[in-house]
Amino acid sequence: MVRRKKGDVTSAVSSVKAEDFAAGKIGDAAELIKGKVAGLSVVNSSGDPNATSSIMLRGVTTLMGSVEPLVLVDGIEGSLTTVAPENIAEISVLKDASAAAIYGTRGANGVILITTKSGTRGANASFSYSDYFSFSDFTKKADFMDTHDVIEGLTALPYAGYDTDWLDAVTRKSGFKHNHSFQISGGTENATYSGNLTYMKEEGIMRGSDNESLKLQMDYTQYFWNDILKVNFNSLISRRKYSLNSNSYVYRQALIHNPSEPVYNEDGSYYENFDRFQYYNPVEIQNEYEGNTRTNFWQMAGTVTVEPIKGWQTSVMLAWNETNSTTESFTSPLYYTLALESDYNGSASKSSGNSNSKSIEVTSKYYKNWHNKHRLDALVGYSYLYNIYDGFNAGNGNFSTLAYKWNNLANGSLLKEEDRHAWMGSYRNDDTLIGFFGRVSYGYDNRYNILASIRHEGSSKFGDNNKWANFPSVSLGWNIMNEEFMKSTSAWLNNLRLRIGYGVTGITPDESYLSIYQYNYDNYGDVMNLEGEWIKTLIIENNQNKDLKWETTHEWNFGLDYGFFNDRISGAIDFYIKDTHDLLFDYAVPVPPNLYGTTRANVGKMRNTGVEFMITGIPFQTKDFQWTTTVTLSHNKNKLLSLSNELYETDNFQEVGGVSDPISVSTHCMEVGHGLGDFWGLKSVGVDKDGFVLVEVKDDDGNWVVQPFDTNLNKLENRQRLGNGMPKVYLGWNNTFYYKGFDLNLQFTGQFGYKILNVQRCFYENNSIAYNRLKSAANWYPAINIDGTPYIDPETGKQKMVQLSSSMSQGVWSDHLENGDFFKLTNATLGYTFPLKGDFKKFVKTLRLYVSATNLFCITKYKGLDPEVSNYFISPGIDDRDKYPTIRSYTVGLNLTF
Amino acid sequence: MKNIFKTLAIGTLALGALSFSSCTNLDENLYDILADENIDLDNEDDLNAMLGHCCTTFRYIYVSYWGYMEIQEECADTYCIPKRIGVGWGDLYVNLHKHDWTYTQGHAENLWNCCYTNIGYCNKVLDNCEPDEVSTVTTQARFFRACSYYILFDLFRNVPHMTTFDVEVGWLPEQIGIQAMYDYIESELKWVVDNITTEKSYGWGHKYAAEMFLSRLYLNKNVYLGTNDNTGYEAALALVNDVIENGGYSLAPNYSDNFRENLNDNPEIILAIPEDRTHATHFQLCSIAFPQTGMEAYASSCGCWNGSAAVPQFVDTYSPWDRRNKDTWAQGQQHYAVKNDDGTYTNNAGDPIPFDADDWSGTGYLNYSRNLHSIDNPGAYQQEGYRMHKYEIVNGTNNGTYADDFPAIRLAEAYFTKAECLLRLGRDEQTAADLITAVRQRSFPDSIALATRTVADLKGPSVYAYGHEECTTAAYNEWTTWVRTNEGGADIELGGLLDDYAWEFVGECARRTQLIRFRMDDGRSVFTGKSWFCKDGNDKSMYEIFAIPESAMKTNLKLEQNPGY
Repeated sequence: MVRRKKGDVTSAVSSVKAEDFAAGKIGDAAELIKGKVAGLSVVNSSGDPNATSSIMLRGVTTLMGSVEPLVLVDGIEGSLTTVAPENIAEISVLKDASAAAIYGTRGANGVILITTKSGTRGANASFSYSDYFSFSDFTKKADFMDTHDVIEGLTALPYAGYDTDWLDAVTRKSGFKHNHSFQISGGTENATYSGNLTYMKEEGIMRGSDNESLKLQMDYTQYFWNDILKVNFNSLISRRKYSLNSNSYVYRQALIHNPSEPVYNEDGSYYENFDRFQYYNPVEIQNEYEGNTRTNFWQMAGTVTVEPIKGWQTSVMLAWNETNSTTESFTSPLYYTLALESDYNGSASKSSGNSNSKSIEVTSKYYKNWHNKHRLDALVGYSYLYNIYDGFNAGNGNFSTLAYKWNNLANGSLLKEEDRHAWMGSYRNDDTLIGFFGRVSYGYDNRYNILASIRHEGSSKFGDNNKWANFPSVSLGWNIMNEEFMKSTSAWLNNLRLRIGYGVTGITPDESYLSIYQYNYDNYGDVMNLEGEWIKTLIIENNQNKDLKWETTHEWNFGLDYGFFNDRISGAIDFYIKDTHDLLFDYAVPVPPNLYGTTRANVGKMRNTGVEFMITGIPFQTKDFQWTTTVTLSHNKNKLLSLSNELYETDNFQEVGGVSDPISVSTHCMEVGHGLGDFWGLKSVGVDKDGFVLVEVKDDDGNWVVQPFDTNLNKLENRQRLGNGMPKVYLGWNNTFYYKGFDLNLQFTGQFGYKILNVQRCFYENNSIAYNRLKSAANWYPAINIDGTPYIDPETGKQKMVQLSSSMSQGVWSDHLENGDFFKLTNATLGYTFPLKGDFKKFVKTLRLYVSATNLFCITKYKGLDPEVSNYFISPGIDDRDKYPTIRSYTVGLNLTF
Repeated sequence: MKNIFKTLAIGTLALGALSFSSCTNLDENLYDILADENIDLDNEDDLNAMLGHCCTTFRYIYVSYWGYMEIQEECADTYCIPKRIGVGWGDLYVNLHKHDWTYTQGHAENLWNCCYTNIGYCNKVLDNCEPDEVSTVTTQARFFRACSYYILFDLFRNVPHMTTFDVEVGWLPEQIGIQAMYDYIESELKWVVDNITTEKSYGWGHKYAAEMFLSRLYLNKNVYLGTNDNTGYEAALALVNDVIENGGYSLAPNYSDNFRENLNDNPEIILAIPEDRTHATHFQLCSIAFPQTGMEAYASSCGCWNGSAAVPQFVDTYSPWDRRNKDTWAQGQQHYAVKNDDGTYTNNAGDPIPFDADDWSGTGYLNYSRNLHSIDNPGAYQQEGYRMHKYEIVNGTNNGTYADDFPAIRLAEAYFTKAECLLRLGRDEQTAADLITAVRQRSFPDSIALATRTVADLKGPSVYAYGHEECTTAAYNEWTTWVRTNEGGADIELGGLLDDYAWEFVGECARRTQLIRFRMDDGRSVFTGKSWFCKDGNDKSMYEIFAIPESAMKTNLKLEQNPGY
C-alpha cells in the first residue's frame, strides 16, 4: 500500500515507531504499544509465559468469533507473535472503517500493520545486538489461611501435623527470561538487505510453564533497470517449544489445600486424600503430567514490482506459509485421574497439526502530481487467500514400562483391551477468501483530500445465497491550516485538520462448512443393530443455513488533528459510531424441527459509539534535558439493538457468562437495548444475625424483599443488573525523560468505570467449604435485620457482630463485585547510552544499558490479585479463580550497534 | 520501448499466475465432513445408520446423566441425593427431593432434549419413507418416537407435537392440548402394536414392548386426562394379558438376574437398553452413588462422586426376609472384595475398608448408615445412607455400572400391571395377589409363606412411615435435634401394592409415575400429599408435572408454560 504523507491522511490511523516502543520483558507486539494508541486496549491478565495479550479496538463488534484486529506483517496476514518484537520497525493501527474497508471481511475489528526492519539503499552495513535478562515474581498472592489458622479452627480442615506453603511447593523462587537478538542491515546502490535472529527462553514462575523460541527473518530487495523492476524476497523461519501443564488446576489445588498436610508421605509417595471430593495433591498434578508442543513456522514471500512509467507500479506478491505443530504428552500412573483406576500404567499421546496458507496479491497503482495542486493516487487489485488445515493424533495407555513416555505408543495395551481404548484421530478442512479491490485518493492544493475505496469479496464459508459482498468506503480530509485565512494563526497553531470518513467492513465466522447440513458418524457411542452387531450411527452435526453471510459494520468517523507551537503540542481527537448488522450468533433453535440445538445465523444489530483523544507534548526542553509526555484516552459505549430477524425470533434477554461448578450460575446478561457486559445476579445488602448474607428477592406480589441467601434464590425474577464489566475509560500516559546519556520512560495505564467479579471470594470467602479458605472468610460483619436496621444483640445491647455462617453455601452476590478502577505503572525503563570516543567508536556505534520493571505499582481498591482482568466480550470483568497470577518483572538489558 | 516490452512480459507472467488459481472459485471442499453431497438417505445403508441413531438417542433417555431414572426416582420416596457435606451436590438435587424445582431443573431439560432429539431423528428417517409404509424402518422409528412422546407426556404433559422434519425454515411446533396428545400417542402405539414384528431383536422395538408402553399410558389415563373411569384399566389389562400369555417370557430365577451387566439371555426382559464395554458405556449410577473407596467392595474402579442414598424411611419398610433389600442397597460396614481361585470375585467379603472422614461408627472403616441427617441443612455426611448397588458393579473392571444393560421393561411389570388393574376393577382379586406373590417368591427363598401377599395386604395400608424425618444437628456423630411428623400410610388406596411396587421396581424409572397415580383418601396423590425425609406433603399438584425447560421456552416462543410455573 502506498504510504501517504501525513497531511493527506483522511482517516483514523495511529503509528508508533520502534524508538517509542516499550522496553524490557516483552512477550508480543501488542505489549510494545500498550497504552500508546488511543482506542486500542491491550490487556495482559495472566503471568503465563505462553499467554499473549488480548487486544481490542473500538469496542465489541461481534457476539462471537474474535474481537482481535487483523494483523498484517509486511502485508501478509500474521499474528502478534509472528516476528520478534526486536525486528519491528513500526506498528500502525488503522482504527476506522474508512481505512480498513479495503481489507474487507477481515477489517471490522480494525487492522494492525506491522512493518519489520529493512535495509536502506546505499547505507553502510550495520550490525546490532541486544539482549535482556529478566526475573519475575507474582505481583500479589491470594491470602489464604495458614497452618496456624487451621489449628485455631478457622477452617473445617483437620490439623495434620505439618506446615506446607502449597503455592511455594509448585512455584519457582523466581521466573526467568533471557532474550538475545541479532540484527543486520545495509544496502548498495541497487539492493537492500536485512536479517534478524532472535532467541528467547522463559521459565515461568509456576514450574512446567516454559517457553523457548528462535526466529529468523531475511529480507532482500534488488532493483534493476533504473528501478523499473524491483524484486523482493522475504523469508521467515521460527521454531517454538513450550511446555504443557495442568497449571490452572495445580494452582486451584494449591490454594484450597490444607496447609498442615505434607507434600509427601514418609515413604516418599504423594500425600493424597482421594475421598475428599476433587482434592488432589498439587505437586502430584504438576509432576505427574508432562508434555510439550513444538511449533515450526516458515513463510516465503516474493514480490515483483514493475514501474514502466514513473508513478505507475504493478506488483505481484506470492506468499506461502505453513505452521507445523507437534504435541506430546504423558500422564503417569500417579496422576490422580489414573491413580483412581486399576492397572493403568500411564497414558501418552502424540499429535500433529498443520496449517498452510497460500496467498496471491496483484496490485497496480498510479500516482501523479500536477503543478503541486492536484495529487492523484489510484489502485486496483486482486487477492486470493487459501487456507488448509489438517492434523493427526494418537494415544495409548497402560504401558509395559514408564520409560517410553510418548515415544513408543504401540507398547500400550489399550489397543487390545475390551473396555479401554486407545485413541486416534485426524482432520482436514479448508477455506478460500477472494477479493477484488480498488481505491482512489485525490488531493487538491494540500487542502482538500478525498479517498474512496471498494472491496468486492467472497468467502467459501458462506451460504450459496450470499457468497459475495461489497465493502465500500469514502473519507474526506481538510487541512484547514493551509487555507489563506489561517495564515495569521500559524505562529502558534501549525496544524489543524478535519477528517470525516465512512466505511463498511465485515467479519467471517471462524469455521468452515457452517451453511450446510453436516452429517457425521457418532463417536460418543455405537448401537447394536437389528442383527445384533454393534455399528456406528449417522447423526446431524450442523443445521443448514443457506443465507449465512457476513456480519457487516458501518462506521462513521469524525476526526480532528492539531498541532501547536510547531508541534510541540500535538494530537488528535476522533469520534466514531459503528453499527454492526447481521450479527453472527449461534442461535438456540428448537429440536425438532431442527436436529441440532443451535444454528449459526445472522441475527441482530449492535452499536458502538466512542471517542478517542490523544495529546503529546514536550513540556520541558533544554540542551541536556527533555521531557516528552503523551496521554491517550478512550471511551466506548456499546448497545445491543436487536437479537432477532424474521426467521430467528429469540428472547430479547439472555443470561450469559458464568462461574463454574459447584456455584454454576450465569454472571452476565445480554439484552436488547442495553450494552454488553452487564453483571446480573443477586444483590446483597448485608449479613443477618445468623451469618447469612441477605439478598434482595421478589415476593409473590412482585415487591422487593430481603431474604438470607440460598442457591435456590437464583431465579430470573430475583436477579438484577449489578454494574458493567467493560471499562468505560482506558487511559495511557507515557513519559520520556532524556538527560544527557540517560533516558527514563514511564508508561502508566489505567482502566476506569467498571466492576470486577472477584471469583476467588465467591468460592473461598465461605465457611461451608471443606477446603482451605481465604483469610477474609473469618471477617466479622455487623448484623442487620431484614429491614436494614442494625440487629441488636439482646445480651450485650450492642449491634451483634457475626461471621459468615458455615451453613451458607458458595454463591455469587453483589458484594463479590468490586470497583475495578486502577492506575498502574505498567513499565518503567531507565537507560544510559554511553558516550563513545576515539578508536572505540570505530567499532561500536552505540552502547546502551537499561534496567526495566513491569507492574511496579498499581493503585486500586480491588481486593483481588490484579484488576487488569480478561475483557472477554460477552462476559467481561470475571477474575477467574484459577487464573495464573500476573507478574512483576525486573529486567536488565543491553543494546549494542556496530 | 525495450522497457515496455519487459513490462508486458512480466505482466503476462502475473496474469498467468492468476489463471492457475481458479480465481473466483469459492466451493467448500469436503474432507472429514459428510454433507448432502456424499450422504444419501435413499440409500439403505445410510438410512439404516440413521435409524441406528433413533435407537441410540432412545438409549440416552435412560442412561445419560440426569436421565430418566434420576428424574423419576430422586423426586420420589425411595431415593435422593442429599447435599454431601465436604463433597458437594445440593441445589438441583435438593429441589428435586423437596419438590421445589423451576424451569431450570437440569434433569427435566435433559429429558426434554433427549426425547425430542430422538423424535427428530425418527421424523427424519420417516420422511424418507411413504406415509403408511409398513417396514422395519417405519415400525421401529414410529415405536421409538411414540415411546419418547409417552415419556415427555408423562413428565411434562403439555408438549409440542411434530411428525416431520420437512418444514419451512423458521416453522415452530406447537402444543396441541392434553387430550389430542394422548390420542396421538395412543393411536401411534396402536399402529405400532398392529404392524410391528413379534420377533425380538435385542434393544429394538417389537409388539410386546409396544404393548407395555401402551399399558403404561392406559394405567395412568385417569391421571393424564383428569377422568375417573375404568376404561384405562380394562385396556391395560388386555394388553398385559397378551404379553403374559403370548410373549413367551418368564420370570428370571433371581431378582438380581435382571440387573446384570448383560441381559440378553434373561427370559424376563421385554425391552433392554443394550450397553457394552467396548461400544457404549453411559450408565453412571455407581459414580453418583458411591464414595471412591466404596468401589473396593466390588473390586471395581471408576471415578466416584459420593452422592445418592436410600431415603431412610423407605429402607425400614422392607421385610427382614426380603432379599431385595440387600440385593438393592449396600449397607453397613464395607469390606474389600475377595478374588477367588477361579478368577471371580466375592463382593464385600474381605477385610474392612478403612475410611477416616465422618467416622460415625468410630471404627475407622467405611460403614453406610441407615440415617441421613438432612437433604440440605446441614446435609448428609460422607458415610451416611444406603447406596444403590442393584445394578451390577462389574468386578475387576474400571466400568462399575457404566456398561450395564438397562432393563427398560420386564415381565414383572406386566404381572404388577395386571394385578393392579384387577384390583382396581374389583375383579379376580386373588389372581392379583397370586401374581404379586409369584414375583416375590424368588426374593423369599426361605419360605413361601413370607413371600405370599394376600388381597387384604395389597388393598391394605402402606407400611411406609410417611412423615417429615430430618435431623438438623450439624455434626456427623450427633443426632440431637429432630424435625418429625407422623403421617403413616394408612390412608393410601392399595397401599400394600404401592409398597410392593417400590420393593420390586425401585431405581427402574417408574416411582414418580406410580406415586402420582396412587391416591390418598383425601384425593391428593401420594406424590403431592405425603411427606418423607425432608419433603413435606402439600396441595401443590403442579409439581406432578415438570416445568417446560427455560431453554425450550426461549427457543420456541409459541410454547406456553405449565400452570403454576
